[in-house]
Amino acid sequence: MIPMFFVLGLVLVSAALAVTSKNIIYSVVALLSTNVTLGMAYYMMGAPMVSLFQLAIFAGAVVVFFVITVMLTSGGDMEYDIDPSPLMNKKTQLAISAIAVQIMISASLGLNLDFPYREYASSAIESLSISFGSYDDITTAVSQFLWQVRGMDLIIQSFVILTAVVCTIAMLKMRREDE
Amino acid sequence: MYPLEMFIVTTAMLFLFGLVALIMKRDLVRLLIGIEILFNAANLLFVALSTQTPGMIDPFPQSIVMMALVLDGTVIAVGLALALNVFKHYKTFDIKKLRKLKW
Repeated sequence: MIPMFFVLGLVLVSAALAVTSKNIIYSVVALLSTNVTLGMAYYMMGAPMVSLFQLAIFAGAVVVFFVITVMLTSGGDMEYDIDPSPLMNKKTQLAISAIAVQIMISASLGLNLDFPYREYASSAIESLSISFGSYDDITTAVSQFLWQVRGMDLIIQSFVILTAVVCTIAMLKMRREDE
Repeated sequence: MYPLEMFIVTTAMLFLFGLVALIMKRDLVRLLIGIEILFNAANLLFVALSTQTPGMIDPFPQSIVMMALVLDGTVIAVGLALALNVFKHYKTFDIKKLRKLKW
């Protein structure tokens, strides 16, 4: 349990750095750290496929997109020109810190949460559950589930991704033609 | 099986960070970073709730989160392309200066 606490703490610290850093390059690096540590957390929780996707897409592709955007627009220099928002005063920071501390204290006092997952799950999903064995079994079960039960979703999702790719290329091409 | 409380606390804090970024920041790229943190919070809670049965793994939430991850990546990619176009036209990422987009 201690390694999971450590990993989740790293997730929180790097997410806080991603939000509060002045330089946007540091924000992107902290976001990369958030995504990598979240991938580690998923792996430790017994979700290796989710961990793989998190590392490949969020820690890989999306961070590269952010870096390219910052490089093309010199956004790191521009950040200092922006005045702080009027919402960002001491009272707001104090209120947010108080809420965060309250959440932490109530959690440490013991919420004794019990999520009766099996009571709400349908019998079909329950029959598809597998016992926690090796990660190979989990990967195989998730892949089979995806193609057997959520096949239509996958096909529709591929069309959504195709549309997004076409839109992105069209926007970037328009940008190049204007130049 | 890990206790659910620490995941709920982590998710709440991540959600708070993302919300703070969306409320306080005026940079378009930082807003997208906040949106990504919100995505991460939702995905983490989804996976954490699915692992609360001792000794069992449910593939349903994992497959849903995998699809959500791919779609989140496309959302961020389209958002960054939009941000690039906005920068080309207005030479800024500051959303306060993009008032021409209003009706």
